[in-house]
Amino acid sequence: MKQPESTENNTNADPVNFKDIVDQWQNMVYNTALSIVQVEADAEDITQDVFLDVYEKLPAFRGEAQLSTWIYRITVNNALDFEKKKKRQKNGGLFRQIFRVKEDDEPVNFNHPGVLLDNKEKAAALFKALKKLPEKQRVAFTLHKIEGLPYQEVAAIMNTSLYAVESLMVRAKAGLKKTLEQFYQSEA
Amino acid sequence: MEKNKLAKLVHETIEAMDGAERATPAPFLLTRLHAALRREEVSYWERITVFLCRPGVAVAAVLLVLVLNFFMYTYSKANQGSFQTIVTGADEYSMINPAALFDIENTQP
Repeated sequence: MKQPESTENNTNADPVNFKDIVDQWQNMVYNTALSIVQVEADAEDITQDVFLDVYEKLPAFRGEAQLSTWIYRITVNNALDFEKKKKRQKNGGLFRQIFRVKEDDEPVNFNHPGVLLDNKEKAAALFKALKKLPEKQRVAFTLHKIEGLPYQEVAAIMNTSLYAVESLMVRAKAGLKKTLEQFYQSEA
Repeated sequence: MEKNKLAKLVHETIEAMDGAERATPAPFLLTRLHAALRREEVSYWERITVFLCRPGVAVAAVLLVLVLNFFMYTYSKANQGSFQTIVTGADEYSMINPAALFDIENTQP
């Protein structure tokens, strides 16, 4: 996916700069959040929260990382926190977890709005399989394959080494392969 | 399902997002953000009001005012006499007093 130009000098949270930042990065923030949570309304809420965080923290942004990396990091953290919070609300307290009947946690079908019509079914299967991956593998795969970021930037966003990202990607692909094979075999 | 066919299908599925467009949020995000920022400002003052309206805080504030009043009252009562003396003394040496000015200017009898 095409990357927006970076705005390295946007370090003041004044309305003009903030407007530029929102205009430039809203699609990237929304798309990343949507790829992680896979619910459009939730992705909208996360996008709003991310920009409120950016507005609040922008004066303290020292430019140690690229602005895009910084915003991606906030987005990923917000999306994962949102997902955990939702899961906690769904599961309820410890008492409910012990005594409730085990519900089916199978993820629902998600159709990404940007996918080509020919790939709709395959993309839905991919997102379903992605939900079953461990958190870090899912984030690495989302940033590299869906957002189209190079390994170097994925490493910077995840605050890890290039080697670790490569390893996460190999494991993510292996995990997806296994889940998808089971999925297609059960469908046949 | 045939093994090669399955492998191909899985590979195609993993690559299904290649060439996909970015999803876009609902329009007027900036307007919604400005509204949320305004709401946050209001809620900041609301939080302060809620804190001040807590029974504990309100009672403590009233007690503090009463204690301060009591001390002010007893202190002023205790120093009432000396305060009057000071005022009288200041009146005597005041440069604004026209009688005193007259004394300074007309030194000769």
